[in-house]
Amino acid sequence: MIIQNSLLEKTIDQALSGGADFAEVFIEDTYSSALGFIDQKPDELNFGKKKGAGIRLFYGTEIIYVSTSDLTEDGLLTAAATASQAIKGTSKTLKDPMKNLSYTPYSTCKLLPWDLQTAQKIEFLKRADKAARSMHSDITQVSGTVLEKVQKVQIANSLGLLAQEQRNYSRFVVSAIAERGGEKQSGMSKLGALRGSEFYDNLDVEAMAKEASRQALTMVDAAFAPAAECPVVLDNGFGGVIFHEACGHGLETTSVANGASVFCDKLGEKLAHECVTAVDDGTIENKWGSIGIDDEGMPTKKTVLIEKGVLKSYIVDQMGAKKTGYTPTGSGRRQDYTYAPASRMRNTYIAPGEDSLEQLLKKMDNGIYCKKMGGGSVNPGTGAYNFSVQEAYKVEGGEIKQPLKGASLIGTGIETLGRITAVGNNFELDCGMCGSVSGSIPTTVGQPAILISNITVGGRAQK
Amino acid sequence: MSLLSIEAIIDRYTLKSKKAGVELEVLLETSKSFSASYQKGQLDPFKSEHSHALGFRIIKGECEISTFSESLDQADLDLVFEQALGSVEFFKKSYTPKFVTSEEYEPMGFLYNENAYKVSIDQKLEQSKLIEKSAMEVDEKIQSVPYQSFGDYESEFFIYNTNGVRATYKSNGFFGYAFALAKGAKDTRTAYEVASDVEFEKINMSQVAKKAATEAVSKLNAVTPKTGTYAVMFNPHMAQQLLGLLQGSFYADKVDKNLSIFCNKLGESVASSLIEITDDPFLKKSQHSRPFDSEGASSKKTTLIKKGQLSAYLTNSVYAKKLGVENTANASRGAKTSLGIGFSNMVLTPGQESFEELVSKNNQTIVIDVLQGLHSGYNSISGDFSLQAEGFMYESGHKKQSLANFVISGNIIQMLKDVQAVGSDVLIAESRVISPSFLVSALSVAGESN
Repeated sequence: MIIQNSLLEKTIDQALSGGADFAEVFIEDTYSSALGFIDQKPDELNFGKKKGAGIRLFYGTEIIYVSTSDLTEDGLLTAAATASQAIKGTSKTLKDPMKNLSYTPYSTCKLLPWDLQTAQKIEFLKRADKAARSMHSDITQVSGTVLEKVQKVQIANSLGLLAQEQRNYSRFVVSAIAERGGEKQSGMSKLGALRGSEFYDNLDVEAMAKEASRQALTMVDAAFAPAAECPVVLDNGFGGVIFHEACGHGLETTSVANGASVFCDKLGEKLAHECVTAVDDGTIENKWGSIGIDDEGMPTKKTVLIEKGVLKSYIVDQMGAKKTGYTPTGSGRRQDYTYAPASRMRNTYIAPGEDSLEQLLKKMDNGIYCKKMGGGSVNPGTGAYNFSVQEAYKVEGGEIKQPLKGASLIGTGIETLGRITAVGNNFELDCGMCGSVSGSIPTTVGQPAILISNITVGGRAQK
Repeated sequence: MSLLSIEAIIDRYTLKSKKAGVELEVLLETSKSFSASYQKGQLDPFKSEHSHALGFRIIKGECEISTFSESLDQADLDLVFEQALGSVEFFKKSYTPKFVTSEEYEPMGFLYNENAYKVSIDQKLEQSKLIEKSAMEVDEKIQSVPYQSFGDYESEFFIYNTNGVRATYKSNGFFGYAFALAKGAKDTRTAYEVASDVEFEKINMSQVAKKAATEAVSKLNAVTPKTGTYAVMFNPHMAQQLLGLLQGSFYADKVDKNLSIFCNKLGESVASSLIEITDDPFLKKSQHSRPFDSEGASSKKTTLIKKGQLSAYLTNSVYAKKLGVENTANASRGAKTSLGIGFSNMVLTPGQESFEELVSKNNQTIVIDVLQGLHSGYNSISGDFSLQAEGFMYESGHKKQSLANFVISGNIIQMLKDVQAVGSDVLIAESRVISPSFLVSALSVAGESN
């Protein structure tokens, strides 16, 4: 417990004194640590404590949000008073006594960041550096980071809810740079989980480091991707960023409720081929994007977004539910107490189909095979999305040929969704950070390999 | 809970540092901000934030470490301080770090408006309300203003070190933006506009919203350009975003670690002779100007590219010492981050010609007004970029057609070498990168197949 129940109740009463319909207090106490390694030695350790409170009020569909890093009684009551003064209604008080919420946690934690010695973490990074450099003398730089976070949250609201969760995050990232003939390219490998620092016990850091070097060494010899419209096969894992950007953000009620999504009013419509089923699931044990409760105190869920091509659900937070009438999906998330929660994705993926990767490449015949994807972004209002391809290959007659660099894929969400014509069976999830209105949060993307019949590839135009 | 004042913090941890035989730097950042936006006439959201964060940086011989706490509770501060002392010896540098000594600082009164507090919440809410109302009045095709805000901020940066530095500065100001969404028969388009100033009266959110809305409507009925090579011009908003990608490449730490595209290029031509880029911490109107850097070193103006030639890298005290060059006073560190290097204001020196003159130089010019995917579509190691874009086709200086769904690609150094003209229409509003429009003679555009 971060703050005593009696003070939470007092804070809620103060917040309701302006006449709000609903008041919520979100308390956070987070320890984070990032240990960086470069030039074959430890570079920096940055760690510390984040502590504060966010007070949110609803008045009809109006939203008031006040945050403070002062968790004293004075600090909390002043913040609550600031919030209440934004509303000019009739004073209310907390009606029901607060009751502890029980829910299923979807993570485990055996070791906390401080249970693992700094020397042990440096050893992981040294092993990664050695393995990455062992691939070839053209690997000229290797960097790595061990990231750990323990986020304790406490959520109370005027409906009598009292919920708490401790979320432990662990992540390992390694990057390598290859240089050949004046050309430089990088490769990157990362893994993260919603679990304690025991995550590092069985981590194959050597395999991850070698994978980063393999990508860099492959791409240093690559030709520029063409500027073209053509079919592509997007491989598994982080390939799922296409659904995340092209569709996921457009399905969040944060956009839908304000009419700022191309997916507005499309529930029940067939938007994709039958082979496409897409899910946003917060309940996968120890997955990077999982949560026990969301940041509004609701137990999380598994939400089927698209089933056999038909739009089944949006991603809904409490205010989104109030504005649209859709049922909340346990998806109210925020980076920290300085952000009001918004509807956000958790572990979002396209479910597996039946084709092997080889079958998909044969079906495509000629086009581009995107093996590793970088990040992307979307304008939910227009549906226009983009993402970069980290490692791509030309495909001729269904066979993988030479590597290609410098490609971005672009399109609009609904159009691209309709062009997914086959889904593979090599399903995999991959972790990332997603930035949006409520800050940067851990999310998972995933899919098996998929075939898109036509997409704009932004490479270099032939002169 | 036992909250400590800054005086008590300095006394307590200076004493602890002396006992442990280490040197200490303390940063304290405090900030207050307010913003409000309206959706369909309803407050969504009213937002107020009050925060503080304290950072310790500890030097022990050749070793250095940083830690932070948002809580000023003694137990939390003791915890992070003791952990830092326990780990500092793992982080041995290849140079001997040393805190800067006390210096004279140039006063910057323009950063802080003493009368800003007189503006009431109701006055700020009024400005906010104007955004949606004004944008919707422009055209019935404006559906909403999904992202918008008006507000103010106030922040204070305090630094102390055991080498004699003890300094502080404050800044405040008002800001607003409008992101308007227009829906036509064939497509939906968005456009945004921003404004900021230390004086409330200088911002007119109605004008800002109308400009964004007018632009969004004019972007309707966009087509995809044919794949090919075109003369491409970046408006000031997009020029800022594109040049922003280059920031890290000027940092001496990135150069030292072989992570910059400017490694081993000092004195070489890296851009057209029309390009001059400086770091200017004294620039009036910019909220990023500052009297000293994050180590307390007195601010300096530095020319980085002159007539297309790379003339300097940006340093902080440790990299200046490591590389044996002058400290440009570009230490960048927030209370919650480790010591790094950063621009104060990255400025592309404006040219003499107007936007209209630039756009008339070629028969066909694509003027870019939206770039997406800047965080992922740029490879900072190679300088290659591939970015989703929107814009307008100009023919012989006349605006002809809205364009969307295409990608511009190239290498950023080659693009700077291909700069044909730099405009005079500089924009100071939204970021620490300040740039006029510039025109590139040839850039690859991927759109509709030929």
